[in-house]
Amino acid sequence: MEGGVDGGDGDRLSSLPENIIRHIFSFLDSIDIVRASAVSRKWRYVWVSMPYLSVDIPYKMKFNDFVDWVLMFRNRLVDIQILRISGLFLEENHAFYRLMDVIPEFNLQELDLMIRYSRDKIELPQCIFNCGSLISLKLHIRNNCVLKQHTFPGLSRLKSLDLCINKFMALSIGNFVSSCPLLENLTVHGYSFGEDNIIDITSASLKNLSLIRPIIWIEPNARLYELNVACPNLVSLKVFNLELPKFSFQEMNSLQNLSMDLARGGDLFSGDLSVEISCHALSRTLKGFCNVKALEVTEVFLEYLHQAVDKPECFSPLFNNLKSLTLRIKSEDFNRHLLINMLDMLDCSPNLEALKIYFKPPTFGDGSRNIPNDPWKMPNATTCLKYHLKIVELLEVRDRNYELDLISFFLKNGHVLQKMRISWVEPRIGNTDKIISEIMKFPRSSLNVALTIDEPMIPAPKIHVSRG
Amino acid sequence: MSTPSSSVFSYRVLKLKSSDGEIFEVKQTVAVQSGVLKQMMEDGCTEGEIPLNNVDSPTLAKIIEWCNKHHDDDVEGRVLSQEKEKEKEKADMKRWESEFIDALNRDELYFLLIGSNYMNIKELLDCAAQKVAGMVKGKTPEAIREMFNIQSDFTEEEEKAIRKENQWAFN
Repeated sequence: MEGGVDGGDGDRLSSLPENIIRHIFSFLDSIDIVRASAVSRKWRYVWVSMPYLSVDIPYKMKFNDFVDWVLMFRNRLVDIQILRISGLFLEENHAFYRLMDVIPEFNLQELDLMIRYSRDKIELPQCIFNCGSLISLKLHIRNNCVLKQHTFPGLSRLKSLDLCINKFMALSIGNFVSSCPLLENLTVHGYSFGEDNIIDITSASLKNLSLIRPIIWIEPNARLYELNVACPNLVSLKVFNLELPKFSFQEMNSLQNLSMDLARGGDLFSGDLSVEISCHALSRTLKGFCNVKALEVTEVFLEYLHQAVDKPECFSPLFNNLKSLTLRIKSEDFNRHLLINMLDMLDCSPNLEALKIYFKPPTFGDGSRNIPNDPWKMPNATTCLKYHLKIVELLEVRDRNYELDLISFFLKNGHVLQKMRISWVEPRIGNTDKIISEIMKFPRSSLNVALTIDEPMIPAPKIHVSRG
Repeated sequence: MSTPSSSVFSYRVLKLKSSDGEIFEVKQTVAVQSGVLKQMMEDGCTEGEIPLNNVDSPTLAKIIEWCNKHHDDDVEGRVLSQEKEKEKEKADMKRWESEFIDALNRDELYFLLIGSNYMNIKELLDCAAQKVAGMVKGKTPEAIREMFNIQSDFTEEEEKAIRKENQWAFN
């Protein structure tokens, strides 16, 4: 009988060769693999040799039993390369410590722990850091977390570290990094590191660094941090909620990709910081990454940049290697000033080939703040528009006044433009067909532009809160 | 992935012969997704028809459809595109993949697993394997037997022993 996946006599799948069965099982949690061992003799002992354990601890399941089972039945000749545990209760969890006691015998390479929330501070188990064979470590902990630093031995083979921790006390990320000589990838989610909130990261091996923090207003008492990075081999850097001038980047000549989300507010806007000082801070920072090929920034960066451009005596920024630029702009802030700032940025990027502008959804309210429809005088084309800019993408366009001007500007001045893509969020003013026909009438400098306009999207939920 | 050989021969096609004798022509740049064919190209032994004795023509057609879809022709655009965009592209591709896999019946899925394993096309093998894994996930042994039409070859005592030994998984 022929049939879909849910019908027919499908015993063929059960007769797949064992290597394919094992491959299929590798996508399953340990509990499913063990259950499958009761299906037939053929599947009876497949689990024994699977080189990983993956378990999600539901409330009623006894983790203790799971650990007993691993200790009693696991074939010690086969490595446990990967251990994934989610939903772990750490409080008085002797089973976990028993498991971690034997884990070094299995040549563990990848450890991924998701630890459940408990009200008290937890002490990060020392045994995690005794696992010298680890290459990749992921810790997701919703608690305040303490690690006694004097017992920290360092992980000599670790290449990748991913930490998502509310508050990390008594351990500075910097020390952690320095004691992992092969570390290449570091991702930290969290808003508070150490008592002093200063992060110093110095590493010769580090290639990718991401510091991701939840947005500040979730946790009003969270202080901003100071960041000092000195990594001569860093290729990619992502930082969020940084505040000028509290960071410094040194020895960043190898940096290719930078994504930087500067915090708004604080010093610049409260007037505590003079324009000169912020200019100086920015120039100090910009010098660290003038060689990047790909850059992703927000409107706050553009404001600082504009100040620097305005005062050429203090610093004139230039991104000669920049090929790809992504701007993430709050749609409610999109006004004439921002347009000017944006063009400043293009002026500083003579070799830019691809530009992408995202209009972020309004954070508060419906974003229907009145946008003054000032007449905008089109500026002259900059170098990159004349010779290099091939791709322009305007994504999640919301309001149409300035955006249409912007589209018209790029079509008119993009002499070598090859591709323009526009995606709309359901327009409030007019209908899409009308907008499209308007866009089609804009004069074009390049004859070869492939213009694509995506179907309007359903507006995204208005408030985005990302929790770590 | 661009290897020196694939750039030299980028316009050449390979002739693949399915187990039932049908010939399929595939661009070399598409065929590199198969580890086996890639190796053959590197060794320079892709002249004439390449017999694929483990893959019948309906399966080979499916496999080629997959490879064409996953073929990187817009290299420049991809290099330049940023992470968010990649995410979107990835999401579109994921949707296409799940539609592709969901449309298969079990026999087709079986032959696709065998074929992609034989031709060493990792992404396709992973995708098909995940489909089957999804069918097994969360099911009791009885339900799995019923789904795959498997007769239990355990004695009652043996089955009891298995459950006892692995009690944590059966509660």
